[in-house]
Amino acid sequence: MPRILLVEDNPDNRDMLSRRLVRRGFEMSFAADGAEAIDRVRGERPDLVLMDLSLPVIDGWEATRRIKADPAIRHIPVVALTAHAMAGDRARALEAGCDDYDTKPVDLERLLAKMAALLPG
Amino acid sequence: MQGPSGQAPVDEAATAGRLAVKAAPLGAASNCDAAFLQLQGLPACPGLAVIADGQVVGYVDRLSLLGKLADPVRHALYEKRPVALLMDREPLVVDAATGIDELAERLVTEKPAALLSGFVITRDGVYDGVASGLDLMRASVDLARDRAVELDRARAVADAANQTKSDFLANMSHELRTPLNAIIGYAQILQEDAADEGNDQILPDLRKIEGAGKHLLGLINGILDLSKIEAGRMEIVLEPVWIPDLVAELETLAAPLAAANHDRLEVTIAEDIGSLETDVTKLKQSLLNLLSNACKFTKDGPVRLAVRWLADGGEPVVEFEVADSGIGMTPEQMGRLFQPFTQADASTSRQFGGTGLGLAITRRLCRLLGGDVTVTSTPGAGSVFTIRLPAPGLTKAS
Repeated sequence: MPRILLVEDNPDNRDMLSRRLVRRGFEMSFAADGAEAIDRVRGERPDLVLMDLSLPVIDGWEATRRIKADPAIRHIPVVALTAHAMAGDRARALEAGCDDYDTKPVDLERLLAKMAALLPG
Repeated sequence: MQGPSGQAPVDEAATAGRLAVKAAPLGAASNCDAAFLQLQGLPACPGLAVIADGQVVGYVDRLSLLGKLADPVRHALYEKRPVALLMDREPLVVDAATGIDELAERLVTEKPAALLSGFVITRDGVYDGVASGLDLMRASVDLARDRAVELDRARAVADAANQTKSDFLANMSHELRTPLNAIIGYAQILQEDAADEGNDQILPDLRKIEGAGKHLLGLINGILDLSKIEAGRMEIVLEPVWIPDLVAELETLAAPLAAANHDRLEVTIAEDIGSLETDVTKLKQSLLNLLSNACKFTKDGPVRLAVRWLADGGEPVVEFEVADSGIGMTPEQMGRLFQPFTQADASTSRQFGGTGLGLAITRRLCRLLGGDVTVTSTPGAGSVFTIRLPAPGLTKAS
């Protein structure tokens, strides 16, 4: 059962996406800001991280940069999720080290396809 | 005397009045010597007005008077004669309130000679002063410079306002999408829950909530796209796009849209077409929008997508043609088609749905990609939309 860390500060978004992913057989854990995300990735070693980009404390770009700078956890795929579909966001996310990128509201099938491509085995 | 014939300028600095050199006028009975002495004492004065009964009756200009009286023989001849002998009896007389632009125009059309000789300025019909063509030119140059500065300032203000508008729209669209995200997402979760529990009777209502949410999201995304394009912040990523793959993907994406109205999707693609250097996301969005419209307006009929390339002597052009067999449009309807929020007519959106933004965005995207989208239509028979993109790097399939 793949373990997913969902980093999202909006409780509704966290609840919705996790309920739908649990239904699809994923095991979910959560972080509400970028700093907590880094701690949990180090502690829990999830199979994949879904990372909102506009986050309190440390934003998603910086959190991703720090995850990808740590040799112990850099292999863990990070998929950026953001409601900003502004020019440059996609490029910034990939530049920060995100392995893929999707926009909110989440199109579940599209997101699942992106996750499947990055999850091991 | 003539007053200003055009609209009174609001800015006193831009009127003839500012040019007036307030030299004392001559009486009609003054002799030439008096005029000569007065002009010698006023080196900045282009000439002198001659007044009779409070009215301007003539004008003696510096150059011709000094020219005649500088020579001692002619001086002796003229000095005791009345100035009326040498004056111009039909000088250019303008009201002090005349705008600089209008003054320049009158000078050119009514009395070009006044550019050298000078002219008379009156205020409410009463003599006010004299002025030279050179002063008029200086005032014109000042005015043009002031206007340029004002235009620059106005443009800076407008640019800043436009930037503020774009930033506002970008932020608002984020704020709008967050709750909308929850509305659409929970409607979807409830549908999944209802399906699991066999609670089928609430599904249509949940689908309506999801549908309305997605429609609103489409509008917000459309407005955001338009504002990004208009603010010049739409990112274009050029890459080689293998056209047969793009067309196959479009066919898959459009299939459910065609099926909804029992339309037949007919796709033809030139065999020798290969890859095109363009922004695949923008091109796909544009084509999908045309296909979605074509399917929407066609019932039980064919919807055609044809892709070909042309090279009329110049560089090659790739042409994507989307033809429907729908209601068609009149020329008047086509004229408004690519404006935001204008479907062919107001009843169209009630009957066929849509945000009224798709074609406006499509046109702007196609122009960003260096091409355009055009339309031809026959009412009752259908419409043909054509996207043409220049394809300098077009490679052909072998």
